[in-house]
Amino acid sequence: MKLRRPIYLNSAVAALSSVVLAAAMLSANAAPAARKAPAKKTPAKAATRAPMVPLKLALPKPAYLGTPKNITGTTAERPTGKPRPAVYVPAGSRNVAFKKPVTGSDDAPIIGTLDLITDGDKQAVEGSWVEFGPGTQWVQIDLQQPYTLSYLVLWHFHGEARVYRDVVVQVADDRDFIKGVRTVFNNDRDNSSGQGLGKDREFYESAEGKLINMKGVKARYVRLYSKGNTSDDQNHYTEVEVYGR
Amino acid sequence: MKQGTRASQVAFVIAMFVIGAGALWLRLSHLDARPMHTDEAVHALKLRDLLRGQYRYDPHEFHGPTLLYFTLPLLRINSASDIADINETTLRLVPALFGVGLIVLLLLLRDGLRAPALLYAALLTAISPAMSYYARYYIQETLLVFFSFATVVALWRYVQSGKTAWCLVAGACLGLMHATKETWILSLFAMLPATGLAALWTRRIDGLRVGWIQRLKTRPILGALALGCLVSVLCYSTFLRHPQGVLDSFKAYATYLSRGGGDSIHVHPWNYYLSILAYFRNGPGPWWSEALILVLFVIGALASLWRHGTESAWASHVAHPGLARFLTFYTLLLAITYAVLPYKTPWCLLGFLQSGILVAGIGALVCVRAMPGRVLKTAMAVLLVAATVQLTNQAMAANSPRFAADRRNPYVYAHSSTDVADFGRQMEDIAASIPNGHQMLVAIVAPDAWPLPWYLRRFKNVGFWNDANDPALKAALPEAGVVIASTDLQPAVQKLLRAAKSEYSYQEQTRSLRPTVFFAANIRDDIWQAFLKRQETSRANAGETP
Repeated sequence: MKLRRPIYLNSAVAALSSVVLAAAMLSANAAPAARKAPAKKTPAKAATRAPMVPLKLALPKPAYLGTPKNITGTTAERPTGKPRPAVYVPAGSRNVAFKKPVTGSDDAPIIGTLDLITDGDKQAVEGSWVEFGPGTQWVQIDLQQPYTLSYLVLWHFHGEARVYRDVVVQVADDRDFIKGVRTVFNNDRDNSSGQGLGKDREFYESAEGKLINMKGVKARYVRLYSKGNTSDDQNHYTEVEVYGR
Repeated sequence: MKQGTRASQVAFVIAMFVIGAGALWLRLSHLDARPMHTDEAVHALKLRDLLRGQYRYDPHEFHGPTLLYFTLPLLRINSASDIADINETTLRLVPALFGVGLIVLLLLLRDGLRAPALLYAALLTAISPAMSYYARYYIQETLLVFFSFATVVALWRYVQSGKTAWCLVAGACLGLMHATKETWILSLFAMLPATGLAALWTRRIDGLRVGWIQRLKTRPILGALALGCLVSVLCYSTFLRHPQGVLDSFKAYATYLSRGGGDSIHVHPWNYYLSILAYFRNGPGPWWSEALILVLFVIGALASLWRHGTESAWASHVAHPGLARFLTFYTLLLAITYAVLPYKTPWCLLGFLQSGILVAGIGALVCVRAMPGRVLKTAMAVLLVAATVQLTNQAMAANSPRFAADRRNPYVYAHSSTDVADFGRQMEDIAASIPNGHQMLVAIVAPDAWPLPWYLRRFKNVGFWNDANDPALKAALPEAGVVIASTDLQPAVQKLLRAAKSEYSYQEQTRSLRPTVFFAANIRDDIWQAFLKRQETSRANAGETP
């Protein structure tokens, strides 16, 4: 005869298991910068409200395969050439940026249109990306309502190995980025883009995209900065996906 | 009638002046915006050797010394005694001025080509994207084209006037050709058969006597050859200080011959130059084409080769068939020679493009005048103007800061990234942030670090190592403020840094020399903090708010 546990105990055990599981998975799979985040931060908190499910990403066709020899040796994050270890998001999470309106520091980019950034096409081919001129440039996605955000995946131009400078990801509650501005990623080591000193690692572009832990922030607006790259001084955006619910 | 002639001459000179001014503007604007190409940086460092009295001609690399000699007056004007005192603009002024000089030389062909053809050729020389782009490069090519064309022009004046002085000028220019770049031999070997073919054509096709041969005199020609040798000897021997250079200038052909046919990243198919000139598009962005020049060259060449003395509308637009034929054969022979050689760099096309442009000038005149009726003539003229405007737009785009180093520009070849120029600026800011400034030791551990030596030219202590196991490197590292390493040597360098100076940590940056050619810059943390503090102070003084 099996003993039935009280219902409150079941809930507590489930919640505790979810917290432990989510924390363990975040610790194992998230980017190193995210690893330092305290375990009780919000994605885990979200897990207490919903079961965690693997985040399924549809990756574009790689323009170059594996890890080219010439990009080993430095500390910038490299593409692994292997499937990314699973990351978990609360059930019901989806790309809330898909087809959402995009604005930018330059409303008339040199090449492409701003809507390409959220159109779902992330291939490194002509017609998939937007090009902005030199200097610090930004694009901003209006999610049209506040969402609790778990991850952001970013593809600049990934047709070759290159590192974009001063990548900063911020969220805010208003379109002018005055209220509730929070920085979730910043690798501007000398604050040359003026958004504060960043501690996050630089990364090579690849078809895998850059996965950024949004740590469960709740926001309506997402803004991404960059300031040229190692190949030229232009700024390119192919696709931005923001997962939340 | 006489007044009309004078008026047309004045108009011609004014038009040439306007074209020359436009060419100068196109060649001088934003001269410092493009990062230094490796070849430019190498020549700049050779200039430093010359200034320090250490220059010797190297038969394996770096070409002849005229580029360096012609830079010296500009250094004097800038009161500069070292390359640390100058910037990219000063260096690039040299080829830019020679590029404009190509237009000035056209004035001496006034009796060889019809005025409209000459004016249009001057305009195409000014606005050709290739001609203007490489005239802004601190390399020898524009100088070689200038001296080659100057030789042709001086010889033309000699056979027209019979004056010995022109023959001597031709000899001096021949010497300067030799002292500029080893590929001068290709131009010479195109000139000689082109002259013979032009004479043969006149004799066989036109059935006319070749008059200029009778005007050649032995003494002036021998004098010219002697002067050419003297100029060359003086240049290669660094004005008699290093006589070995003269011998080396001939030994160099063995090097360049083996390179011309050997394996290299610069080996390209035979139609490489044609494909750049005809149509080029690399990814999103503008398309590029100098097909206008190619098409007009074909028309001009046909008109030049047409039987002279007939009533043909084609032939009547060629003022002097001998010169037009020489230019046609010279262009074709030089283009074929460069096409056949497997080793190709895009700036080599300047030689045949420049002479081809002169033939294209004839082609443009033929196009307009051969049209029947005023309406068609006007329509053709409008079409040419529209195509010329489009070509001008391309030239402006190619030379603009946006496309000057962008691989979507067909003339950008193995170019340094803007990132390396940015790193150079950061290094200058770092030097300004610390007490020992440019005395700071910078260690470079990389087999290929060009063009970094140019960007670090103001630093007094820069050490180069190819091997991370070099004991001298291990000894130097504790003193180094910045250690630069190629990506393959960076892990070994990091180990050495950890072992050498445990009390310091290093900020590592991923930088690039060229697209996808990366290096690591390890900046000592105390120096980095001083740099950050200075940046913050500068921002505060400028009133910037985050």
